[in-house]
Amino acid sequence: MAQDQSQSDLNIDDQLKTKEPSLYKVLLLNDDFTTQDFVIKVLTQYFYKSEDEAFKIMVKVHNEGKGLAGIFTKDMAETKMYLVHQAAKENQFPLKCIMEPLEGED
Amino acid sequence: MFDQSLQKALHQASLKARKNKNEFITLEHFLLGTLHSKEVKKIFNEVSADTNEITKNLDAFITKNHPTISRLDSNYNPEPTIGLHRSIDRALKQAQSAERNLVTVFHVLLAMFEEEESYAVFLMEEAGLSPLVFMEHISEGKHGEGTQNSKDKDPLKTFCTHLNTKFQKNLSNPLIGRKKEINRIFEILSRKTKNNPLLVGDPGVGKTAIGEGIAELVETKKAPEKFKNLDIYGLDLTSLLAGSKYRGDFENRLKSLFKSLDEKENPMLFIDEVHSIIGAGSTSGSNVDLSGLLKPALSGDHIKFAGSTTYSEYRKHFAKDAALSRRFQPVFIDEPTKEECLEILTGLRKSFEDFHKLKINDEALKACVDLTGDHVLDRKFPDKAIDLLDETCAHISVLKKSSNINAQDIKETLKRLYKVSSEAVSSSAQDKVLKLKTALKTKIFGQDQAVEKIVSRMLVAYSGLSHKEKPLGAFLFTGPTGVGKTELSKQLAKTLDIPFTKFDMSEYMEKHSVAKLIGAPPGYVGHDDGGRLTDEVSKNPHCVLLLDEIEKAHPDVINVLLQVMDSGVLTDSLGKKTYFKQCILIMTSNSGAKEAQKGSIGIFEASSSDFSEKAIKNFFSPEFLNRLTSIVHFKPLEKKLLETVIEKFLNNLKNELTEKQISLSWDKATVSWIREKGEEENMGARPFERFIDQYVRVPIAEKILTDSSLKNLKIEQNKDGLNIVKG
Repeated sequence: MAQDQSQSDLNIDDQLKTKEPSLYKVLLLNDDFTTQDFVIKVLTQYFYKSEDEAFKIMVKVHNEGKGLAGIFTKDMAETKMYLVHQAAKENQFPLKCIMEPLEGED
Repeated sequence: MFDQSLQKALHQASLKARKNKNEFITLEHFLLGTLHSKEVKKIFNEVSADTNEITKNLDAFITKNHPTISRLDSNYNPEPTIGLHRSIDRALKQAQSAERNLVTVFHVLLAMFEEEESYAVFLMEEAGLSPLVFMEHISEGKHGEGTQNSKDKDPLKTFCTHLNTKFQKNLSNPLIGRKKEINRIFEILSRKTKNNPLLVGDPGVGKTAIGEGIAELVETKKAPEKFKNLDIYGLDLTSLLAGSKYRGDFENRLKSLFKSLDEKENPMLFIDEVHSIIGAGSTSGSNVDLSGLLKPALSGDHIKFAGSTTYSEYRKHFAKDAALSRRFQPVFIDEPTKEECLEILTGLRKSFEDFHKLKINDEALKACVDLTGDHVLDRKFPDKAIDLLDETCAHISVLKKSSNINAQDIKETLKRLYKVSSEAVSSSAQDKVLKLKTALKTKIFGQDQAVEKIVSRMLVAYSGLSHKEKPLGAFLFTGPTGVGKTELSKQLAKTLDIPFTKFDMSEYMEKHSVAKLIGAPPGYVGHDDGGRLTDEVSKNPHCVLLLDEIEKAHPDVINVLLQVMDSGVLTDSLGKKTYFKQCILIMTSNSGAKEAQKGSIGIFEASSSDFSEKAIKNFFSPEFLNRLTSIVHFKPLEKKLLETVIEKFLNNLKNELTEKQISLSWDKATVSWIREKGEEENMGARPFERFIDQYVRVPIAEKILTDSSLKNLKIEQNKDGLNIVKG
């Protein structure tokens, strides 16, 4: 007999979820310590942005507090987030990113 | 541990990601990878999911949402996403908590359902798959778990055969005779301590049969009272060793085996080839092997052990471990006598008849025993007799000639298999010997006395009256050079249709050349190669063995031959015995030729044979001369025979030319001329061969090479010499 798993949740999800899974936005958040250079590096290395694009997004983060890094499936978004956080930790920056579901279908 | 299905799916997923130059292996890649497996497709089909549709959708999704990163080089290995990692982890934990060793692709697919907002899960749900489907599939246990888990298998069944039941099923060979040995074995088994008999005997005498025979006695209630419920198990060493994965696994198995055996009332373990337990099962670090593990059990008195081994293995391995050998009591199993062997064959007859669907009559059985007893000397009864019977039955049943085996068939199989002919084995051999005299006289000229000696000896040999052990004949041919000594040996072999082996003794002039004949002593290079002489004779036991120019050999080499001529046996450096019983041994010598050439001093005209005799007596040791069958003197060629000899050489040349479709003819005057011109005193027939070579062959060769359409040639003699003309 298997140990108790959260199967009851699954069942409910099962019945409810027939809509196609949504894509997620990954947003970089501003903070007082992460350098602009590092943000650009993250954007080019992990999100494959060009230098120009990376600069634009970095400016947005700096001015507006958050900037769109990319849109991915939930799984990918999670993975990207993980990578960003790891890189930040290694370089001693408190850079954080969040993911939000994309509003509406595309 | 991932099972094969999971490994394959992961591999396929990785390939897809690589191909697409995606950064990561996502859940979608993984689902695509699983759909390569037939089993997964089956599950999908069971819920009426369209795997092709799903594959298409996945492909489209991946292309749309997982960008191809052209920056990635070809060495980049895509990593699994967090979601995939999590699913695999979950699957592992689930499997572990269920005490399963293997994680399958279904475990992971099941675990994927807990990922939120995954397109792969969405597709699966759309298709009608739920976690329940996978859970059910896993529980059906279709993924070969049972074989890994041998906890509940009976070690007795896995590692041993129950000899009692084997006998019940009529799978073992019946035991016939051997009363003395069986009694001794039961005596040993009745002891209080160390009741472990060890059957020691040559290969093929019936040790394993005796082991099974004890089971037979127990089952047919013929065993002593004490042993009427003896349970005999034959240990299968390979299955005990096979698959022991980690240190201690082998020891565990053994322990469980002993525990099961202990539970029986009257257990006995029979270990065939017991010398193999020395060194078995020991890992490189530990000193303990199977023999060490057995020692305490051997000294105990509940489980009885029995083992079988051969003399040489016993000496080499067993005797060295005194602690092991003292726990066993040896029982020496000798070869059965001919009568006992015949009884054994009679007892086995029915099983052979049933198997081959033939009938075997009594003379055939007797012939098996007798013939192998006389001629097959390197193997033991009853193995060789049973072998011969089995081979004959197989041969006849394959040819489907008849459905009866009689003595004649046995004899023929013996000849075919062992290349040995029993005397008077067939009428054709007898005819050959009778015609021998006439046949030889047409080939060898002027040596009638020698031919007669040889032929009379052959008659004795082929009629079956010769000594059983000595070679068929040991002759020393002496005489001047070129009179036909080697030729006679060759023709003898050809007429009797037996192989001809020649050893040129001028190659054995040194003391150490003995090693070439019988093999090098241990420690020397080439020790394992054996000797040329023993090899040749064991390959063809019935042959004409010619040792040319024996006086050139080193005396030590000649001494080796002494025992060949006396007892017909030669032991090589490896200990293998070769039997010369069927050999015709011929040695040629030119001793005395020099003295004869010089001529005699004194009044009496001594004949060449006198010179030879004196020289031979001086050169060879008396014990050598004593063992010869006879010394045959070859006389120098008489003048009137020279022309016959020349004719013979010309005939040889004619035969060669006939193959090229050219005919050759000559007249008498030519022959006389060749004789006059080519004769050399005391040189025998060879000068004529040289002469013909020079004066006939060379011109013919020129003619052949210049004129390719040559058909007829004639040798003419004129005052200058010989002419080859077209005739």
